[in-house]
Amino acid sequence: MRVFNRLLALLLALLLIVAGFWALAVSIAHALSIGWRPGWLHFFDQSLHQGLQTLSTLQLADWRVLAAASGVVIVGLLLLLLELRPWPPQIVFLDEDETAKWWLHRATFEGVLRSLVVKETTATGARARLRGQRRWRLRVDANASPQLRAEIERLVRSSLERLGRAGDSTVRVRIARARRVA
Amino acid sequence: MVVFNRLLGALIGLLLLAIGVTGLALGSGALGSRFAHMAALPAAIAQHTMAPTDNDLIVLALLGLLALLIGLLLLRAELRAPGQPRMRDLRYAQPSAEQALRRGRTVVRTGGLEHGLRQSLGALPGVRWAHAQLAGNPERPNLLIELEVDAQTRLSTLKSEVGQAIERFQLTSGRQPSTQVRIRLANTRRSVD
Repeated sequence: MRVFNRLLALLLALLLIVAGFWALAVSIAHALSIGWRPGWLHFFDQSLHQGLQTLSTLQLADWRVLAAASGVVIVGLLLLLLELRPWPPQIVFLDEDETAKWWLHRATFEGVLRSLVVKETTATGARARLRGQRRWRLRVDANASPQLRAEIERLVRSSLERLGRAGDSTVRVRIARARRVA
Repeated sequence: MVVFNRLLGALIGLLLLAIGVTGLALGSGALGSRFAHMAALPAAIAQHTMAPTDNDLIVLALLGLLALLIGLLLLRAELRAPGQPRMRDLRYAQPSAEQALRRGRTVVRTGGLEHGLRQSLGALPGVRWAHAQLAGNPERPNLLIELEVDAQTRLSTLKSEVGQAIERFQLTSGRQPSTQVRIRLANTRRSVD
């Protein structure tokens, strides 16, 4: 989502620059009564005029206007929901000592846990989710037999121990029964 | 910049939602059938666009300038490297009057310090990749370290080794940095026999 937002901002910046140049070029050409324009600008102007003429003849009750408005509502709502939902932090706090403040990239830890559970046990479809900036809440989901719960919990705890966070983190392991292959 | 982009995205979403809802409310006749039969673009605006007056051209030029300015500012902000500006090179005071007379001076390049620290951190056991960046005031620099570390590495061991590397940096530069270390974990590679 961070990359998407950056691309969106870049696209908006480019659109504003192009629109700004176009408005300046059109107003200067009119003010100086310059009849000549490059072919692409002429084509753009003609298309714009045609579009505006069509819009001025369309009624708001027309199905095309209603369909376009519905599309705009859906895109706007989707964008708003994506931006306003809580985002997980990119880095989480690990420790602080006299040397430094230590942080961990959340997604890398989740990835390591996922592959650890899959590699070391017979569980499949493992997922790990770490939340909380300072007090960690870790949730691990996997498809496995219920007997594997203790083994998965041990693996997760040992990973947290290596990071010195076993004591003050909440761990929840959820096991979904693995589907049998027919 | 992340927060700004998020706000910008939310603002665009809100704007689109407002336009769409207004269009739907007017077009569906919820606000009266008079509005439903209105043109999607008022005739007056269309007329001004087809045959602009002098005032229209001035307004268009001003709006164009504004759009250009905002677009360029936004582009510059998006393309700028994130984080604080890099630290200036370290300059040391003359240790003796004799050296001062000779107009000598000692300058330690920031890039050299960062390179040394990167080398030192990259050679630590369990560390696959290291990056160091010095920023802020040269008297009390901010040091940002990024490490990619094998998942099996114990943080306590890593901390003591990184601590020694930072101490060496302090001895070399004579500066006490305010340090942040960010760790990326990577799955342990298995050796191929």
